[in-house]
Amino acid sequence: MFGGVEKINSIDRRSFIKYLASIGIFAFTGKLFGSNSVEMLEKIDQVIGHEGSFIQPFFPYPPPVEGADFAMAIDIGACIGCRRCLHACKLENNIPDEPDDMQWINLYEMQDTQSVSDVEMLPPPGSNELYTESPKEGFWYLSFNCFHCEDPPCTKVCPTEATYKDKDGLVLVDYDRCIGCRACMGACPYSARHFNWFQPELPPERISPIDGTIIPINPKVQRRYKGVVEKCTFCVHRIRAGNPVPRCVEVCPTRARHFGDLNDPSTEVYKIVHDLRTIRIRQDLNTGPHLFYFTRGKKWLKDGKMV
Amino acid sequence: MEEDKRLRPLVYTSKSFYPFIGALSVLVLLALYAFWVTLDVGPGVTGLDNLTIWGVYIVSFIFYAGISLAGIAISAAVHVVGLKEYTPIVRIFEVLTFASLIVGTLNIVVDLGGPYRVFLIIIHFFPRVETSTMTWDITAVAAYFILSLTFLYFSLREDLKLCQRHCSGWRAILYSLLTPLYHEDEGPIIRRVLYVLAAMLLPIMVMFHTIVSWILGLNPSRPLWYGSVMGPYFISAAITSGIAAVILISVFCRELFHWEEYFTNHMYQGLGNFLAINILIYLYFMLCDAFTVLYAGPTLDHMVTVEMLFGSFAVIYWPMVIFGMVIPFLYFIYQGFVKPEHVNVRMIALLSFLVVAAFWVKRYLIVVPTLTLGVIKIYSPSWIEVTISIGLLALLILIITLLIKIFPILDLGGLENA
Repeated sequence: MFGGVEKINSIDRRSFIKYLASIGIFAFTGKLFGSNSVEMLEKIDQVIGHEGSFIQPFFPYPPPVEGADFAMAIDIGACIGCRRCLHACKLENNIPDEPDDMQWINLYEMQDTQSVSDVEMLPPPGSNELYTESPKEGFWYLSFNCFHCEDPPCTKVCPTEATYKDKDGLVLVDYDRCIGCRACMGACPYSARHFNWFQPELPPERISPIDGTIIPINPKVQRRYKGVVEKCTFCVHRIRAGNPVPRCVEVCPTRARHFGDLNDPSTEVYKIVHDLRTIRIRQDLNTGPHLFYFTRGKKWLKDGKMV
Repeated sequence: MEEDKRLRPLVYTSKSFYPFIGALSVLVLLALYAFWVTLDVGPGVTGLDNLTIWGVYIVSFIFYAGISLAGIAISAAVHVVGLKEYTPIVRIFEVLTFASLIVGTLNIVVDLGGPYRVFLIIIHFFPRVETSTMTWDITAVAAYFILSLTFLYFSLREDLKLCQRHCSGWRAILYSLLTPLYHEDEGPIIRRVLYVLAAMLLPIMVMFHTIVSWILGLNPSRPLWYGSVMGPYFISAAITSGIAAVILISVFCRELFHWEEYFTNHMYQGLGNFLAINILIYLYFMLCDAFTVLYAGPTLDHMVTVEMLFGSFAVIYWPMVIFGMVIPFLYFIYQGFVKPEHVNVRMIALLSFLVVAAFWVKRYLIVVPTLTLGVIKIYSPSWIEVTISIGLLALLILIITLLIKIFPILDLGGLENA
């Protein structure tokens, strides 16, 4: 619970003093060379021979994939709003149903007359999140999770480095550092962040709403507690451990979701972004969201069957 | 005899003093209980949710931060410009700054999801001070607090020594402990120190309130928050609500301790005029804000503004504008320029109270409608939030009362020089 305390103890006093002394020097010179704070800290760590624990996340996420830039593309014409991704995500990432029904992926039923660029703020006005029947004629389905922006407004405001942009493009949260000030939630234009208002209650096993199988708690994903902010991680425990795609992409029955490395021309996302015309929600905010929307036309018929 | 009157709160304790302190303490203890419930059950005991992420705590923080301005900034301005007439009142400004900065910071602490981890802000200070608005806030509050405390202390030194001669028992011991290395001839040097501190405080005051506004104003997507006008808007609001709060508290002191000869009618007339001008400036800001958005605003800004002016928030918006701004403005103009010989101090206090209340409501109307997007959900504070807010207000009054009781609130040295 008191994650930060161990953190301090893990630094011996001498290196801490060296650290403070060098910050004074580098805070000045680092700015002269125009480097940002993380580069500055790396330099300091090199100079004093420290292992860099100040900038490493506390929870052992797997190390970032070298040279990657992960992104997701969603085919809004193919999405039938079945909510399989949502439920699979909840089971994969230990997201509780009680006491708050939290979701990292949200799905909205949008009217046909609404366009993607109409979406200014999430939830979009005029949308319906509590639909019971899908797909329905006259509607389309907007799904979104964390956009893992290139220049995320949320990591800028964090006072404790609890949320940060990693080298492979993922925006992650170190729950043991979060003080729950919710500044990141205020800064996020996409309402992608969720706060644990109560202590989440997670049974050891849950029944999957998709096919009724019993799914145990995922031991690879850290459990959260009350008072911290959490959000979609692009299933960091999977994609950094060799599994190519997040769980939501894996379960999608219509292959509406695509995931991959934007720096790797062989991935599907690279091809979609380069070959198709895509749109991103609120690009005007200079955030560079890594969630691309595109469509190849509607892929389902009136009765819900695939074309 | 005259000396006794000035030191009245120090030497004379009325029968109702201890029940008053007791009642305030009970309210503070109730707030502590509510805070314990928050820690025990979780931040969800408030009326907040993932859409309405901030509520009355942040509203109150902005409000108390605003009030704290008036204090030291105006007292600093008085020192720099040298308005002799206002010298007796400035220490009330400084005490108000001190108390409202403490209470404002506590409002942030109770709002946090993990208040036991705030020290992490200090540990991660250096990497984060580059971009984090929260870290800037902490820095600004700390700098403002330390500077204003230093200012208060140096302006008190001479008076503490004066009081020490007139008091006995624990007071004399306390005052002598608080004035180490006192020298008879230090007066001019202290005044020079105060002048330098005052000159430093004025830019820091501008910086502080701009940084407070940036908690909201730097969020790229939020309708009516994002924008460069937030800083001037907040400074204007801070001056207005701060002056009104100072008038309110000083009239209380004047009535309680019969200080009519020090807090003169003429002074209140001047403060009233200043308040009127500031209300006018603020109304002008509000007009610009509303008109720009109504005429050419983006979708969400337009939606929220319409909801505020004519929709579900109109029932608190228009009473706030009329009773909290327009009517006080008209009255202050009337008594300042039309009938300057007729000053009703109690009326001024009543209208100042309306102004203070209106500016709390205005901060509420800045924070909440943007988050709820005007219509989607009505946020209502839970009993926990109400209890903690009332308890923190009680704490503010308690701190001010105790400071008035322990320290000389009238500027004695200044009076003698004047």
